Amino acid sequence: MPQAIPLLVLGGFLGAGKTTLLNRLLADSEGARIAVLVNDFGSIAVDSRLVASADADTIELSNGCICCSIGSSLMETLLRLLARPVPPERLVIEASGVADPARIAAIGLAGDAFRLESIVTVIDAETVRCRAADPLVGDTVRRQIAAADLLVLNKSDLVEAHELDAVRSWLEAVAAVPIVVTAQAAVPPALLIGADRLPSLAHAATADHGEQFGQWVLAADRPFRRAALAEALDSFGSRLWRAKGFLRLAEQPDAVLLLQLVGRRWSLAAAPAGAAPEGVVLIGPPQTDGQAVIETLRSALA
Amino acid sequence: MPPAAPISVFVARKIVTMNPSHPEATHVAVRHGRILGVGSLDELARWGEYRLDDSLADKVLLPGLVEGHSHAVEGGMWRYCHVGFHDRRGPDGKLWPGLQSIEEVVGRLREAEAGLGVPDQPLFAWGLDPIFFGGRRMSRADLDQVSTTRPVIVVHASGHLMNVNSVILERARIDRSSNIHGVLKDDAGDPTGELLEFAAMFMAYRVVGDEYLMTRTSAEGYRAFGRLANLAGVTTATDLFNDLKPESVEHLRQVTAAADFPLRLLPAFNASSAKPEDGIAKMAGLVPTSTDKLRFGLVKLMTDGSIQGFTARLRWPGYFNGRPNGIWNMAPEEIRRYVDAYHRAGYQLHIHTNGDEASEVTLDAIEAAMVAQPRPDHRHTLQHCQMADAAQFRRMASLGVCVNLFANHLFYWGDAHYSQTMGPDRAERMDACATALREGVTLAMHSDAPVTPIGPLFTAWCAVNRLTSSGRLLGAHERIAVADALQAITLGAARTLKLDHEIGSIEVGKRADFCVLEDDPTAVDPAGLKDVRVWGTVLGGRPFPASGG
Repeated sequence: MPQAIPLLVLGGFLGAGKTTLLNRLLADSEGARIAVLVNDFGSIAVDSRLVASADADTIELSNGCICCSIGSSLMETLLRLLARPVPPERLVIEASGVADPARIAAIGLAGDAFRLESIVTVIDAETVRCRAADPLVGDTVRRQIAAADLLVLNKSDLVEAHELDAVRSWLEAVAAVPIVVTAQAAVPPALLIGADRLPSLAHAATADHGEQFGQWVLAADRPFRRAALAEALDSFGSRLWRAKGFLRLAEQPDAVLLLQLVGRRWSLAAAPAGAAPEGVVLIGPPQTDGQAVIETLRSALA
Repeated sequence: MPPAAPISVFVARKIVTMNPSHPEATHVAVRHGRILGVGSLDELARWGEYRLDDSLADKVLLPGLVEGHSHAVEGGMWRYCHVGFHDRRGPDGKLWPGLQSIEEVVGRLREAEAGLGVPDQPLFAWGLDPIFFGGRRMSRADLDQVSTTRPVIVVHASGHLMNVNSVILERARIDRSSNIHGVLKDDAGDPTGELLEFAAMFMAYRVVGDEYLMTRTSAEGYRAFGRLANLAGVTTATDLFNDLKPESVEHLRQVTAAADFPLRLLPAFNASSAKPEDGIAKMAGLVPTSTDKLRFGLVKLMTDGSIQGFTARLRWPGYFNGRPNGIWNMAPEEIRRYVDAYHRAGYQLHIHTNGDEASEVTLDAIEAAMVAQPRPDHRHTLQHCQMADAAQFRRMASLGVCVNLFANHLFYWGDAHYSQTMGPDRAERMDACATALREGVTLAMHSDAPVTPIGPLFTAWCAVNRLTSSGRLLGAHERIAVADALQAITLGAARTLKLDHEIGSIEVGKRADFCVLEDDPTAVDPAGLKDVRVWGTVLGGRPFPASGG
């Protein structure tokens, strides 16, 4: 049985910046062969030098990624994708601008085709509060926010600082999930995907990401206590955006497990063969006290 | 000048023309597939030499019926076993009697299973409607009686639910631990085999593949849809939601080009599958390739969901049972953008609006587009539009908007609308055909096949009698006269397709498309309108008996 394919569902209202974000992801997938399913095929703009082949509903890139048009049936698009000779390493589905991403994400919560890694909702900082109060689309927008494991507050460059603060406080009040503030949908791909291929621990520990995000490493070959680890991961709230690691649990010391965390959602699964229990890479807002996060996590070691 | 083609004169017991200046006749002359004259034999003989065709001498002719909202996918579905509660006829004319209990459904599935070859070939069935089974739901145990080795999928009439057997559950790894909303479980915590919504149904399709979904745009499916239309007396029908991908367009061309294909088919482009500018470019390429039996040009928009699925967008006071408001298929601002773009480009829009909030947003969008770009006689048409009130019909009239109401809903879901979705008051004025006519809106009505069977005479019966499947009279004041109903399924529907200069009535210059009946619908008891027997059709002067002979 092939391994379940990690799934990211990207939600957000019209114009929030989903397509821009997807274009960035296709251009730099951190080496992963991802499949991206999109609604607005016509707006996918990848460097033509990257295009290996293209037809009416599929673009294949030379970096191994593919982009498929959803057309009128996500069901058929997914079935066709799974029937391809080489399945993708990861799947990203763009929910339509009015869809509830949770409804699509459920394909990664049961069965064995996909494993939901995260629902990420992109928010337009300029318009979200107005839309959330709109009698026609307010419920739609609020559903999209409620479904998210991680919110990307986009277009921060288009609003005044005090407005951005106000939107941010409002979002924190309606959804208790981490928020990544950005402009032009410039979310580091590592935050969204790259999961199985995050930079190596050595590289991660030394990388300088300026003010965009902070990255910290807990190198540890000792096992964690399951309950303590769960408690620690649940405690981070908005301090942590993403974590990935290869680790062991005291309860099953012989198995190396892959830890994945995006926003409020995390999971432990069997690690690929040959993976060594090296520790955890953590990514969060630049203002997070990384040392405190690491200490919390360290306290969960056996 | 080439020599004039020969003239055929059809004689009938009665010809109901739908042309008010000449409402009835006994003979119709045809040349070049078009109507040369309507009248008595004496009158028509003045055109010169003719051949008298008396094969329909004891029949009643109506203009060929026009189904303004159907989906050709129904044709493809008849490859699979039908298990509906109501009687239904397949494209081969075979009557599939309605199944009144789960036991009867299982019985039919076992018969179908016995007819399958390869041991692992999945058994598909469709049309299940458990609301009629007194609260009992189908379970995996029922379907395990059909097969414990072969995947079995039974899709419900709504299309939004399915039942599967244990083989599928096991292969899809759906079990006690599957904690998603769409996997229904019994009291012991095990999946019942009933799957609803996208994710759960995806897991089942993943086991059996996409064959069932793909047949919808196959050439065979389109051919079968032509036969279904012929059985119902329909000579023009829409396929009102089609991505018009190259492969599907090729199938449409191939099938409709055949001389023995008995239908004029109008696929409507699913506009939301492309940006407006790309869709408009695509349409501009397709429209000039239209033929007399394949017409491109219609554009479809989907704005909300369905009322019985609680996904339609309603205005205050919302759903009768307190469910939250439904969901948009397109955001209101997208509706405005698409309406504006296609309106400017000169196309005619057919817009799905089930709930009255969706209708309101759509009317606003059309009004704004018309202010920005005045355009006479656009005939944008609201499809379903089941909850519109008198004020909305007045807006349609003043904006030049047509309506195609879903009269079949009165029978199939009228009881549910009365008790759950809309409550008595709004249910009694749903699909308000009388209000539409009173306010001067061009009216068509439809089946939405395969949601309900294609059959305009049944649809007319629904609008005339407004009886639900339990026998309740739902909105006595919205009943319309038989003559008005017949108009709606012929000339009215033709007007909503901008084809009323070509079809919809039997008069000089129009295409010789007739619905051929054994009984006279204008003379039968209105309660018996649905039982009027269809002999077949004439398309472009060529008879197509439903018997195939």
